[in-house]
Amino acid sequence: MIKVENITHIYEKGLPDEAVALDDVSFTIEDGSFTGIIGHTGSGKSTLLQHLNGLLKPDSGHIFVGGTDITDKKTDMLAIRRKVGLVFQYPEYQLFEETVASDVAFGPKNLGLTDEEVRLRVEEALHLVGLDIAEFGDKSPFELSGGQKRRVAIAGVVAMRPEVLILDEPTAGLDPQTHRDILDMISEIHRKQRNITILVSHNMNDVANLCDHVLVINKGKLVMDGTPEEVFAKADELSEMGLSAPPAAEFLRSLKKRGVNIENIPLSAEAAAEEIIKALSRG
Amino acid sequence: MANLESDIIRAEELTFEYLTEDGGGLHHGGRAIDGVTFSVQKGSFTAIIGSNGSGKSTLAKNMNALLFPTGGKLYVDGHDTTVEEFLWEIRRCAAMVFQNPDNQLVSTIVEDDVAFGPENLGITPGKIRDRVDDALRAVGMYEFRKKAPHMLSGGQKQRIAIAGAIAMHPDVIIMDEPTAMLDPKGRRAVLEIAHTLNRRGMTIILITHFMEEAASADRVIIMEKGKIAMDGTPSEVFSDVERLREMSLDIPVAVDIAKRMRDAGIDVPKEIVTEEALSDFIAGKYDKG
Amino acid sequence: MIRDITLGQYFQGNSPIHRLDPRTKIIATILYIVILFVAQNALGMAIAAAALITVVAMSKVPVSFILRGVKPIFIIIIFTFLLNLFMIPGEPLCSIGPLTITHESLRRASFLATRLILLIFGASLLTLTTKPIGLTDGIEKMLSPLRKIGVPAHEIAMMMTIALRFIPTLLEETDKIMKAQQARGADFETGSLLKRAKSLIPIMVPLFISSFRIAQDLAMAMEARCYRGGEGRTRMNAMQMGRLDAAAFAAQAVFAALIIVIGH
Repeated sequence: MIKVENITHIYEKGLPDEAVALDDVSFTIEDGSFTGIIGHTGSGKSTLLQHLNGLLKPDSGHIFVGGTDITDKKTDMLAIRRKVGLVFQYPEYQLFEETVASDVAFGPKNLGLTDEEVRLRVEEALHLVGLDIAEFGDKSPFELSGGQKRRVAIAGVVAMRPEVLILDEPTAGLDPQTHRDILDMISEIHRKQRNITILVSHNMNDVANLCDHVLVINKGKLVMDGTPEEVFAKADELSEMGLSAPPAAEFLRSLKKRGVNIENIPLSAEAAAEEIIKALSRG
Repeated sequence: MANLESDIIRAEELTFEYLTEDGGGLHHGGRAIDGVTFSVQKGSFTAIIGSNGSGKSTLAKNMNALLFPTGGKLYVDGHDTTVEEFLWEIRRCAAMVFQNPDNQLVSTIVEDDVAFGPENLGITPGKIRDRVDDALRAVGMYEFRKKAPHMLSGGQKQRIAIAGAIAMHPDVIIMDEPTAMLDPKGRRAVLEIAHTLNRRGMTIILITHFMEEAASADRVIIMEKGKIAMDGTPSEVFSDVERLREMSLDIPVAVDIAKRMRDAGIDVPKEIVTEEALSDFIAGKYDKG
Repeated sequence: MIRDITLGQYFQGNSPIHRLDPRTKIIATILYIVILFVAQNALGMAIAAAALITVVAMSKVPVSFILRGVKPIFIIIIFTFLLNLFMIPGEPLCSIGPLTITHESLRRASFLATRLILLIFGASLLTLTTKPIGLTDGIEKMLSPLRKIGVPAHEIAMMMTIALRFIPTLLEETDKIMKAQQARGADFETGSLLKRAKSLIPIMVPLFISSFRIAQDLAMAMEARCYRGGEGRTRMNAMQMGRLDAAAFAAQAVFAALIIVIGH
């Protein structure tokens, strides 16, 4: 379980360009949850992610991951990394080793594991991201396709066996097919590991499809916290923040506004079509 | 044959083959573009979609004479792109905007960056000033003219890149996935600018992964494995849901809902592919019913 | 944040100093540095200091801003001062333990320190009142007569412009890569020198690859915008010297004469 208690983070504290990046943010994420975080660029969500991974320390407040206070100065950094894995945007830009296997091994090695354990972790991680170690293990990561590179980079974090896996826009810049493949892979990892997965995305469809819990960050504050249905029902508030509900839901809402008798606003295209058909048959 | 006068881009059996090099010398690396014939009319808004490796980006670079056909012909405003004396005229005429907003801005100040193209064309200083001011106003970034690019958001940087293209007074602007690295807000702004420019008469070729963006064009070309797989109005192209699925493309939400309604026996016309059109159709039917 | 680091910090303003042609300012700065070395007595130094104070006042750049920019260099100045203070022999003034300060050393140390301070202030005033792009343009124009003997004036200036443009981008990139590797358990802060040097590989390799990618993208973008070198290229802000520059040159001539006559 992740428990975030009243964290505040201020950049350039005391200087004229002081900026509050996170303002008294509190929330809880249950074990096994697939949580989505939405918020536009500059809302403070990147700052939040870096706190969850211990890369940044809050000016006040605490974060507990599985009972350990990761904001405590005495907590070992490696212990935090072991608990929380963070996959940055465009993670393929961090690849540096000569082979795929040795790049994935970087994290486990830093954890101080034995060679044998590292080897097992690499195999397991590559398998989880859908790459065959026999085929890809000895290849240079730089000769792979964009989608494959991204899988290798995600494997590099998965290999640390984190209790919490955070992915910051894992599908940015990908074409539709690769986008779907990477998301399928992520939900597969979630299904197998049964850990906490946190997905940051601009794609509301993806958040609605995958997540059971959604957090909305705006101007450094946590403004919504609930199920996708609860959060996306507040479409007007979302649009004030420059965000939106999934396209199908937005479409239904616009129909309702022009007088079509729509009763429910579901989030998928399939359910939206059914609502429209019902409304038309009611006349 | 289309009207040659009104075609800004014309490809005849255009082929492009990448050469790969290894220890043994140069090899043919497969055809990125494979015998493609089409033309783009002046004043049109064409979207090109297709998965990675379909050849759409290579096609864009050929249109700007950054790459040259290895087979067939490509004409930009009537000029054969392989004829060297037309090179600079072609690059002026068919301006490019690239995917990565950071890696295409040259100068440390916004207005100097927009001036870069006209300066290369050897325009007189006073006229450059006018072009730069006009271009920055056209993309709504005039107030940012003295700023440093690295202080701007991705969407704002991309608008500066578009201003840089506009300042060259091109006949067509080719945008190679300009929204791929932007957030939804930046994406909307860039698409809106593309449409505004088009309404003022600029020919736009937009390469994109986002089907909603493509649905807003007057014409959609789908590339697959170096060939044109589909070519037509958004209504024509997006109404073939099975074919889109086959090519692993996304289905715009309006098309998806319309298809499901049709499957349930509601007679939604096939040419309805945008949310506005579907909304009008449903509201009309609802009022009558 | 790392992205706030800017090179050649420019202080936005519209003072007469800001409005001078960059070439005037580059020449004036060089002249000022030469003059600082010509001045050999306290009076000369005083005139040089007075001249600089006048220019700073005219530029309206706050002194605190200048001080912030030169802060790291103060350590060097203090070091030079102390070195001279204790090392120059002469008539003893006082001694601290084994170290002796002499009349000569105090005089020489103060003189050198003042010269160094004036030099740094003078040079930083150039970057504070001139936009980086103005500086590169000025350098290009000043070097262009040397093109005849094969000096690639335009290319040098273009390289400087691109470097200035991409330093913030690369700093940001470095920050991102460091954080990404730290998230994978990398440790840059502890261990032996060798271990720390090795820990830089996971940063340096991606950074090199990024730089190459940027260079490739940028080269293509520049070509697409009809860049073909300095030949036939015009500039939006054509530099022109005006009455202000003439006045500046006159002031410099008077200043130089004063130092040569009185301060030498």
